[in-house]
Amino acid sequence: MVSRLRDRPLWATVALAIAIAVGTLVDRVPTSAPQRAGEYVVLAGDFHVHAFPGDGSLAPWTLRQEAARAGLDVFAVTNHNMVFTARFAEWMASSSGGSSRASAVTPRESSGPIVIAGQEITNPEYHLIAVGLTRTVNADQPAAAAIRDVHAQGGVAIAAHPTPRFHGYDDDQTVALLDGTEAAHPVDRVSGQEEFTAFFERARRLKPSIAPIGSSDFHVSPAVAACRTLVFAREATAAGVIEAIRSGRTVAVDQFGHRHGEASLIQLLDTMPDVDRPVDTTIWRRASLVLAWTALLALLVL
Amino acid sequence: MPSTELHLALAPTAAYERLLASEPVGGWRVLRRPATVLLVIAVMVPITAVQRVTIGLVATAALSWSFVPVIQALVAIAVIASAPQRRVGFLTALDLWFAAHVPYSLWMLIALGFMAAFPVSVELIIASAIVPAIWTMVVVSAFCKTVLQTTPGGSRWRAAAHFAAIWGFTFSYIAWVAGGWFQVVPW
Repeated sequence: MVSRLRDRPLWATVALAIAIAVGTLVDRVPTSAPQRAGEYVVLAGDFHVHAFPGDGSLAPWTLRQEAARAGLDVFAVTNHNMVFTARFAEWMASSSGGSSRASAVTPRESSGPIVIAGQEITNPEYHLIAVGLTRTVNADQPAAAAIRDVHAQGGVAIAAHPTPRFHGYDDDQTVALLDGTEAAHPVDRVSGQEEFTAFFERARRLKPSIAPIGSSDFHVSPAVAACRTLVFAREATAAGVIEAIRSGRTVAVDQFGHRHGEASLIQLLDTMPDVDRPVDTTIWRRASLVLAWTALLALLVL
Repeated sequence: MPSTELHLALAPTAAYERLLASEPVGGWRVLRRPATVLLVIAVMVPITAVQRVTIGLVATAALSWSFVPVIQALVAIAVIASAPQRRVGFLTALDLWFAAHVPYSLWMLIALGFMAAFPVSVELIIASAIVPAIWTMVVVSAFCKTVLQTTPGGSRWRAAAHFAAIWGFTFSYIAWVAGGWFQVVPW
């Protein structure tokens, strides 16, 4: 017994293996089909997600699984000033079958969410989310020029976390060129959300069809789909999603559950169950996390 | 009984003197400590990012972040090679170098564990890395004096060079993936 107690690193290694095994066994991806609202299919999306390689913490295939767990039907990979990872993620998704630009198979019935290549065009004066790109957009230009470059590729341009410190959006003509704006974005203070709402209201006065977008801006945290966009698309494809955003048929949902967008669309959502983020409460998952963390600590210090 | 690595982190000079009396390390054994470093990263990244730990998540994170111990090894090779008068062979010196991983590994456990459980800004987490950074400089300095047999001045500049190399690479990488240096140093 005494000699076995000396094998603490072995104990810790075994405990870590058990934690990972338990975490694997209890891991479940929820499945449910997107709902229809009249002529539209309502897709849950997150259009501002960072992946590895890049400043995201998760590789594209892992990110896609997490998006599915979060109940997303579509998400865009938007690394800073590069599209390589996003194009790779898009290619991987289409190679695994079902979710592609052309396919009309319902995302959650296929192998996972639709993945759309994008970029966070990052300039000291503005950040701009471009969804639906095939090549990198030059960030070293005014926001209006970047928006036109996005449109030239058939994509949509969304103002990212548009707080007053980003002077690239001071010009009304630039704002009127946008297709969407992040009306919901994770914030650690209430005044941040008020800034996003104020910008959305300003943008809507300049362009009534502007799409309210809810995004997580996932790097390491907050979670994928912490804020999300509900897209009223004519078809469950990347092209359908982009068309819906361009037409302004979206509702942004913030981290507090508040909805931002056209009253008629929000009323439609009120009649539909199961559009909110699924909540994972399994105690076994939490137990595996605690055990893994404790086992690692034991490996380091004992 | 505390681990060898924890002893090293708390009393590096005395611990290195004891370790020098141990058997030399060779072959695959030299990979066990870098593997531990990678294991900490591979488990903590999914815990922090998605509050899950599965075989797939850990394996993918290990593959994705494997460049971290590689970079550490490259810096170690440069420091070790700069002191041919060292008391042990190259592979043993490399093993002893990686034995100094506890400050950063503990920081990952505590900081990223906190981040997984509570809302906290990434900037604050990165700023807290100053603690293991300075702590590791002290350990690296002891490594240079004891294992590499350098002078006190030589130990200090090697520790400073190590700090500059690791953090220079880290900030350069962040600047590249975040879209520019203005993202790292806003002023």
